[in-house]
Amino acid sequence: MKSLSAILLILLLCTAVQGAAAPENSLTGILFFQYRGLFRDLLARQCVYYPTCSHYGQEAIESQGPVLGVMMALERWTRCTSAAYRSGDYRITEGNILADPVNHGEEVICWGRSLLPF
Amino acid sequence: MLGTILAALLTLFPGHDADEGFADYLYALGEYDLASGEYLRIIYEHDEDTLACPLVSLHLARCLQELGRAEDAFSLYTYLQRNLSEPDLRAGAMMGAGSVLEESGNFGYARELYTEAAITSEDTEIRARAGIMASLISARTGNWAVSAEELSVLASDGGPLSDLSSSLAAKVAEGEFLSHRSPLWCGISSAVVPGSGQMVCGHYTDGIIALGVNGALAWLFIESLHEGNTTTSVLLGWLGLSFYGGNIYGGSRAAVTYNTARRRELLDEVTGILENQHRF
Repeated sequence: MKSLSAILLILLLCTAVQGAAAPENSLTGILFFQYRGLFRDLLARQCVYYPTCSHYGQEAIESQGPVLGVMMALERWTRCTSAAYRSGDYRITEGNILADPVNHGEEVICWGRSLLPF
Repeated sequence: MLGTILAALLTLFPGHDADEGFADYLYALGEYDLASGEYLRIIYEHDEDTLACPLVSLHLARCLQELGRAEDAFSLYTYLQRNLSEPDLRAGAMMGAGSVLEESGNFGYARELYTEAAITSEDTEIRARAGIMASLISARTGNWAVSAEELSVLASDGGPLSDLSSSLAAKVAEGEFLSHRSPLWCGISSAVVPGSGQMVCGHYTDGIIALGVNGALAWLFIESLHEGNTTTSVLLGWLGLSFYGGNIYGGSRAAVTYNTARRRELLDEVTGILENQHRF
C-alpha cells in the first residue's frame, strides 16, 4: 500500500515538473500532456480509438466537468483494447482507427445528393 | 491531360457549346473545383446573369455543395428557386436547397422543399425523385413506418423509379424491427453488477474488464481500511468511485453505441440501394 502511495506521489511530482513544458495553460491540459508524454510516447501505447483516450478525456473533463469527465475518461481507458474491433459497433475510420467521439451526434448521410436531377 | 484534349476536340465542332461541354465533363468526373471555375467563367460570359444559364447555375451550386461550401450553395439554390420560372428547373433548385438543409440537420424545412418540388414539377421523374427524398427524410428522423408507407405509395403509382421506391420501402420497413438496448436499464444493470450492461450489449471484453477493475479496487480499498492507511484509503476510495461511476456510464453508453450501430447499418444499406441499384 505504501508503494502504491509512493507511485501516485511520484506521478504527481512528474506532472508538476513536466507541466512547465506543457503547451496548454489549463490544469487539464497539463495533466493530459503529462499522460501523453509518459504513457503514450514512453511506453509506446497505441490507442485504438479516435479521438485518442487522452484527447477524449481532456474533452470530457472540459465539457462535462471534473467529476463526470474523470469517470468518462477512466471508462474509455478500460475499454481501449483491440477487442473493440470485435463488437463491430464502431465506425472504422482511416488507418483502421475506431471512431468514438465524446458526443455521438448524428452522422451526416447525404441521400439527397444522390437523388438530385442534375 | 485527357480533359484538355477533349476540350480541344470539342472546339472543332462548330455550333457546339465547347465551354459548357468541358465544364460538364469535369463535373461528371467529380472535379468540382475545376468545374466550378469553368461554370463561373460561363456565367461571367453571360453578363454574370445566373438566370440566363440556369442549368449551369444549378451545376455551379452543386459544385459548391460538393466542395463543402454549403452556405454559398444554399444561397445560389435559393436565388434560383425564387427567380426561375421554368417549373422543372425551379424544382431542381428546391431539391438542391433541400439537400443542403438535410445535411445541416434541418429535416423539417428540407422535407417541405422536397414536397413542394414534387408538387410543382411537371416532369414525372423529377416528381418521383423529390417524392423519394421527402419520404426518406422520415427515415432519417427515425419514423421508419411513415417513411415505408410513403415509399410504398410511390412504388404503387407505377411511375418512374417505382422499382427503386419499392426496394427502399422494403428496406426502410426493417427499421421498425431494429434490435434495441435501453441505455437506462443497461446503466442500472452495470450499477448492480459491474460490467453487465456492457455484456448485454455484446461488449464482453469491456464488461469483464469493468468487473475486474471494480472488484480489484473494492478489494484494495477494503484491505487499506483494514491496514488503517488513511491516505491510501482516500486515494483508492476516490479511484474506486470514479471507476464505478465510469462503469455505470459505460453500461449506458454501450447501449447507445449498440443502438447507433444498428441504425447506422440499416441507413448504410439504404445508401447502398440508392448508390448501387439505381445509378443516376
